[in-house]
Amino acid sequence: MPLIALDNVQKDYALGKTVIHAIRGVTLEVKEGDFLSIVGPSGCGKTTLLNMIGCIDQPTDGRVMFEGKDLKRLSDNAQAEIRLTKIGFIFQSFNLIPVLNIFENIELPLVVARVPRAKRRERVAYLVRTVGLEEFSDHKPDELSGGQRQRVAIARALVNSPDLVIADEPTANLDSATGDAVLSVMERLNREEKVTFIFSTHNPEVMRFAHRIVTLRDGAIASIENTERAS
Amino acid sequence: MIFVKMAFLNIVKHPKRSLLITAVVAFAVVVMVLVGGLLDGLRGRFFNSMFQESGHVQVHAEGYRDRFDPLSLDDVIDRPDAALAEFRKDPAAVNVEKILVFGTRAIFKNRRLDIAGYGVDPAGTFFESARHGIVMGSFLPEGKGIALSERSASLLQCGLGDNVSLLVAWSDGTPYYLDFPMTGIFKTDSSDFDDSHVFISHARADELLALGGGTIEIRAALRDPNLAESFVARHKAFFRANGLEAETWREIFGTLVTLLQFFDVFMIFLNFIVLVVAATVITNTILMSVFERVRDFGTLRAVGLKRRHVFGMIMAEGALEGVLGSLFGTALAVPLGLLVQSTGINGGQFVESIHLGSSYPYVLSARVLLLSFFFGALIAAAGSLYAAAVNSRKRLVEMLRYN
Ligand SMILES: Nc1ncnc2c1ncn2[C@@H]1O[C@H](COP(=O)(O)OP(=O)(O)O)[C@@H](O)[C@H]1O
Ligand SMILES: [Mg+2]
Repeated sequence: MPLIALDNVQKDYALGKTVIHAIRGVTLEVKEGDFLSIVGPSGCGKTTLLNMIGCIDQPTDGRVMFEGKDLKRLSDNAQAEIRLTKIGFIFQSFNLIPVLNIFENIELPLVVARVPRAKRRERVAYLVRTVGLEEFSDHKPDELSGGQRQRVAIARALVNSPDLVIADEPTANLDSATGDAVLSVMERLNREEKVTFIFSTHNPEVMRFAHRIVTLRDGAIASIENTERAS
Repeated sequence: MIFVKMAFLNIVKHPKRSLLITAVVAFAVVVMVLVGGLLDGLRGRFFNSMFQESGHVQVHAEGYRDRFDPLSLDDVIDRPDAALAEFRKDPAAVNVEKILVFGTRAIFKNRRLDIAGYGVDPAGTFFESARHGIVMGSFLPEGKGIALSERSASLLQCGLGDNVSLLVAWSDGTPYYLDFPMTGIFKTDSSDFDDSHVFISHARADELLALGGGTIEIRAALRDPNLAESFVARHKAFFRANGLEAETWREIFGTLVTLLQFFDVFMIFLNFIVLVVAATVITNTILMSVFERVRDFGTLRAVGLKRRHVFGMIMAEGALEGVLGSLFGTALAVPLGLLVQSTGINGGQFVESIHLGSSYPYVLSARVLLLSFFFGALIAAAGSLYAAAVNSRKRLVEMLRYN
């Protein structure tokens, strides 16, 4: 069973009287351990697609199956539970909570999941080390650079050991060196911890990290290709 | 609890917004305390002055009530001492006195003043405002002399020690007068009262009017105003046997009691308006502060918080601000209330015109403080509830796109 299966997924937005077909029938499978990149120009539907995979939005038509379950059929609370324990989401603009420090931002999903305090500390400390932010534990997000913030977001996405991590243009707000570093972290986690990654980008430079590249054009898949990194 | 902690952090991290909400709550509490205390003060003063002037039960000779001229001497209680003894035995009675009311013309040199004279027990307690309002001399020392208000004294242009003549007509029409040395000048907070009362001792009034030991009224103050009806019922046989009739304060002040009820409704209405205005402002401010953070709340939900978690966070924040604001408001209202209580609020014509004195009385009570505190916190909680509900209805994608 694939981790994710998209079956003729469609998404329409109503803009006044006109309807925008943002996603027009996407069918796609993602296996465990995959490192998938969704590429395409701005406005081709990357965010819309990732939101549906990440259980943040529901398709107008078609199905998104996660571990064999149709996400659309789950209750609001069950969806929250999946976002909490199974899926980590990394946003283009980081979306950290400004009033919490770095440690607390990463810890938050563990608190919600009622993980005991000692275990939380251990896990957060490990992730802070993994993304190389030991000195910044008690800093607030606005005291960090963009690359550092994105690494906090990665740590937060990973903290509950999800089966899938989704990153929507994680490097768009970073310079290329920082972007490379961030993707290197993701790649290492994919290799060492077998975390499944899906990230989107419109930058050809960063595609090379992926095992598979899905090219999206006007809401439909134009091509799927394996890179030399695919094992 | 990280949610309470986050609520707390949100308050601390956005001092302007939190201060605004807290200040609005505090302001509402202060206004409620002031309005509520004013209501209590007015009621208190109202009852007080009512009982001052009337007692709780008045007993007259039969026919007095139907008489056209309240100052005529046609209906006299001939043997008041038996009645006094009877009423003083009653367990509900605190004070029973006889009072001789009469119409008179006060004359000093070539100036005159038509006024109501009151023959009272010099050591009694009725007309406390005059007894305690003495500004010169004393109130009928050893039963001697006459006590006039400052206003009446200045109209007659007489001072302490001057002899004022009181001219009366006996019930058969015979004019008669006696001279009274002025022994006391009083000033109450009601100019109405001051313009219509002069006091002499009951014994001298009896002499002036040649009533031979009679009186016009026997007045009783009771432990509790609500005992008036049962007091009257207990002595019904005595009244009938002695040709007497009794009125309770409710009968005496019928229209004023209605006015008081109207006042209550008015004050509750005023409090309600304060509450509605405060609730509107508070709800708007909280709503604004929630809208500013829709994206943050969206992020929280994206990482796994349920709708009710976010709901609880907003509620915790509002409740905290509400309690804080109520605390501040109460802390502010107590000294302010005490100040107003000691000085009163200058009221002018209106209160004067309904016999409440010249200033709005104010009473700071624990009841009003508690109620205001409670309502302050309640409207903050209600505002948060509304904001949290509005926020909770939003779809997650929309929240994340929110700017
Ligand atoms: N909430 C929305 N309402 C209306 N149209 C939208 C909305 N979100 C996205 N779109 C439209 O859907 C298309 C795909 O958008 P998006 O998924 O954001 O593309 P990408 O992430 O690849 O830039 C675009 O044409 C965009 O204008
Ligand atoms: Mg996008």
